[in-house]
Amino acid sequence: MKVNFILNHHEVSYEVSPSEVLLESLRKHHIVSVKRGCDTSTCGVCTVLLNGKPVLSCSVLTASIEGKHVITVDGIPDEIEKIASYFGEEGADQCGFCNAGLALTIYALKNENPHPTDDEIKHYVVGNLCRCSGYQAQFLAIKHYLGGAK
Amino acid sequence: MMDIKHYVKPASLEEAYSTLSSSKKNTILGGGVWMKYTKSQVDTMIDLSLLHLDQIDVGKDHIVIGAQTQLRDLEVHPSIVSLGGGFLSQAIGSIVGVAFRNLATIGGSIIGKYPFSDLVTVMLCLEVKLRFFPEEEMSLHDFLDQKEKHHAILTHIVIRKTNGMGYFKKVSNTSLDFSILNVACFYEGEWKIAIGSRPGKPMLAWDAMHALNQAKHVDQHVIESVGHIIIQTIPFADDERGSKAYREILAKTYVMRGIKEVMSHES
Repeated sequence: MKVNFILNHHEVSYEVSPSEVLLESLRKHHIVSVKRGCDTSTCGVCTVLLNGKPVLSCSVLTASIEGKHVITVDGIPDEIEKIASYFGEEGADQCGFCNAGLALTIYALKNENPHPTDDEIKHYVVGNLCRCSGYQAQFLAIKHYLGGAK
Repeated sequence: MMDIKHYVKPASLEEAYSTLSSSKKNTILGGGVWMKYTKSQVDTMIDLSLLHLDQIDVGKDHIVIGAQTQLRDLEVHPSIVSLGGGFLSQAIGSIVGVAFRNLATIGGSIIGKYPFSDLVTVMLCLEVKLRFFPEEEMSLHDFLDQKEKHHAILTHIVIRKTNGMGYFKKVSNTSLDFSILNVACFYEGEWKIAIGSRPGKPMLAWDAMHALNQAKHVDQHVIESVGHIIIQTIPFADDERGSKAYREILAKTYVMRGIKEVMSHES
């Protein structure tokens, strides 16, 4: 079946099977910034923005997104560069595998709640797992990004 | 992963029900978050997204929630944030992460009758009715007790508004894991206590509730006796997340703590 949607501000048309999830569709079309982590709706690595909200692309049927807007890190390069610079300053990443999903979640947090408390930040990003860098440096980077974004 | 042959977006509930009834292999799409956990064969997946079942309508006495409402929208809705001191919002907010809750729906969470459900444990303490198509209404409690599969389409969840105060506790190995045990306590003139992930399905603790509601004055002695009644009357069991003995200790501890916390708000 054919599905038309808006990917990173451009209309696209993908031919998919009804069982195909968005993560697979995007990677098939070389959108490889979207990573496959647990593949069971938990780790947050595959996060994309669907109509502005962070969702797990491993659990969204591509058939369901007709007409919707999908944003990956490739769609908001300026904002991602800012986030990356704060992560770099704090030494908040090592392998970088989880960064794309986390960056999109942080960007969504800024849009939804530009001045969150520390607890609100933690509550919002708890679904984005990182297995190498430790969360304190990430937390500081997020705080600086949100402060800088004011 | 679920294997789906066809995908449809019906324009009416009649059309959706007709498709659902035409084959046992047809099913309604919920949030989609458990699709990866099953290898079931689906002939036609029915997407209800054109039917406006993702709205939250707040009336004078009731909150009417469309079954396709995503958990995150529910968690942050002012009428849910204020309900029972926020215990329903808190329970929803403890389910995996925001990106998960932007997909999972309240309807899917209820229809699945998941034994680990944090949401259902809290909802058992509230007055909750389920509306189906074709026209039918039943309490959440009766629905959970049904043995056979329900073939109508869940369209709305209706919660009676309340000024009561609630408490919720989830115990899990990590923030993103299923509950080892969850507990909800609620007081609005009378007490309700629900326990889930026992690991069986969430249930009301009728004997413990009766003891509390019969007590002329709820003091430390009464609260301790309620803790003992919980262990004696609620079936707990072992599974890979926790032992029966561990669950009994957790249940007793958090029910007692929950009663005290609710009372501290009431006084």
